[in-house]
Amino acid sequence: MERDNQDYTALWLQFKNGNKDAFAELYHSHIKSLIAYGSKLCADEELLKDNIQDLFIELWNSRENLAEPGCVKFYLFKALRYKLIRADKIHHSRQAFTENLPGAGGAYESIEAPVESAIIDKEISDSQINILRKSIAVLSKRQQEAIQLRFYQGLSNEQIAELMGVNYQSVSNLMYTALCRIKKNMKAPVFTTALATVFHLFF
Amino acid sequence: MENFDAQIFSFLEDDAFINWATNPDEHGNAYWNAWMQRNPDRVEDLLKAKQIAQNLAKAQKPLNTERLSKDIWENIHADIAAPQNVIPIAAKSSERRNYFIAASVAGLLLVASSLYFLFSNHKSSSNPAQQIASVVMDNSLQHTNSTAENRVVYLVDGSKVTLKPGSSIKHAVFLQKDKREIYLDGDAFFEVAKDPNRPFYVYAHDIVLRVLGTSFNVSTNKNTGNITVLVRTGKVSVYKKSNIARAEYILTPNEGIRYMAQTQSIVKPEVDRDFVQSNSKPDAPAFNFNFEETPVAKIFNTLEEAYGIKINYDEKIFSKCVITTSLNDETFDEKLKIICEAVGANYRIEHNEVFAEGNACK
Repeated sequence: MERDNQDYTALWLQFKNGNKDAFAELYHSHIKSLIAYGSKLCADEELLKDNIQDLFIELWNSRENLAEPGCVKFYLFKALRYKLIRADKIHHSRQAFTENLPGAGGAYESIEAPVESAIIDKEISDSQINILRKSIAVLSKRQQEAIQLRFYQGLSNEQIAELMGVNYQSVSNLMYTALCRIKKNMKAPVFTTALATVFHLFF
Repeated sequence: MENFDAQIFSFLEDDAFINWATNPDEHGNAYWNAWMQRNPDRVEDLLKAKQIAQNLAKAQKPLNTERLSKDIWENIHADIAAPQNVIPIAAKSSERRNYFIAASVAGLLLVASSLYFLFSNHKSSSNPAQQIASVVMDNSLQHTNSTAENRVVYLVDGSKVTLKPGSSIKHAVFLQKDKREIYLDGDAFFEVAKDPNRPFYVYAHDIVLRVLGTSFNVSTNKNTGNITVLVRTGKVSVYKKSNIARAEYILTPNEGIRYMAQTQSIVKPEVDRDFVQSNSKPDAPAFNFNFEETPVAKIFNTLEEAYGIKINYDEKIFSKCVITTSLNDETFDEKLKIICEAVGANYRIEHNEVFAEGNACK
């Protein structure tokens, strides 16, 4: 991801000067990653949509006062994460009377997702990547977030630590336990009937 | 709990390694190949770690973000394009969602009305029963909508063209490598897949439209021969066929032109609400590319109908192949690749047709 950072910094400057094309390009070059990341933090598509929308509108309206980020993608991730966690808290404080939710932070802070949700739609497909997807889907939210940032978004462990507000060693531990769980899940009969095919996918 | 191999994990802790595994480039290849030669006893672990990183990256790939990112941009664009005194950007309450809808209705009826068409289009999911006629002549593929309703034609590059009844388009079967040229007769709404290296040209009688990736409407008045163009997103350059060197107009969203056939001149009319509405994306039944436990033969059939391109395969061999997949925003090539990979088949393109070959599924 560092490769293109130079170009984005240049775009960022143009956007700060009020160039709408540059702003559009910043949006279009990051939106896919932002949706992918946001959907790990927030299951409600409408809420995610609103927050990404607000984020960019706020950026545009305060463009003159914005700092120049070292890495545009990281900056956007951080801003979106902040917004989503805040939105999630507001959302859950409203429901708190009727629902017994773990922790003050609502669903996001829940440590482990129930294993029952493993049987997503009770549909067990043969596709190997699907098996891996399902094995990831039952990890805790934080484990899922770390895995995505690391392997799909290309963030360094240091960036992940800063983004998630923990230290480097915690990210490393989180990643390790996540990988152990994926490995275990891949072998669970819930996920696959054909053990042999999975073997080479995840050692 | 199962333990994860510490040797393999040490690779996954290495930022440079992850970068290379998920995004290989020449520099990385050179470095890690040299590394493997120096550490032959760790090659096996390295390859396993690489495979794991790649699979995890693949498993994280979001399925379909195209529509969502388009929707969000429409709203952002509507907001920042509006004069500041019409839409104050102050509200920060959790009621933001409703506020937003109200704001775009009040401030930008034009965009709101086109948004309606965007949303209303997602409801239809079954494949339209009556299809348009696709004919190959020489190396060209001609799609003619002889049905009474609007129909969507899919192009191999991922672009979509909604053809109104009686309209037709013609293009090279797999489109050219360096550009994408479409000849239009009638009315159509174009949603062009972004490809900066391959400009997309629409030839409509005496005018030529050049775009890189955008959506716009073209309609032809049958009586006068006048052509109207309205841009929904992105940028469209308008040329006269007689002078390809210089663009007459460069249109941005919600801008349009009208070509007057009689005087062979291009004018830029005031774009009002009626103009936008009559040039919005026409409602058309879309193809459903979400397949659940679907036989490969059926998927090939759907692709043949959507793209008008013949796919040859042995029905016997593929009879037991069933897959579950979602293929909405991919190009034709990517769709074929995904299907073939899923059933361990290969495909090639010959004489403007696709040939899929493989072994029988168990």
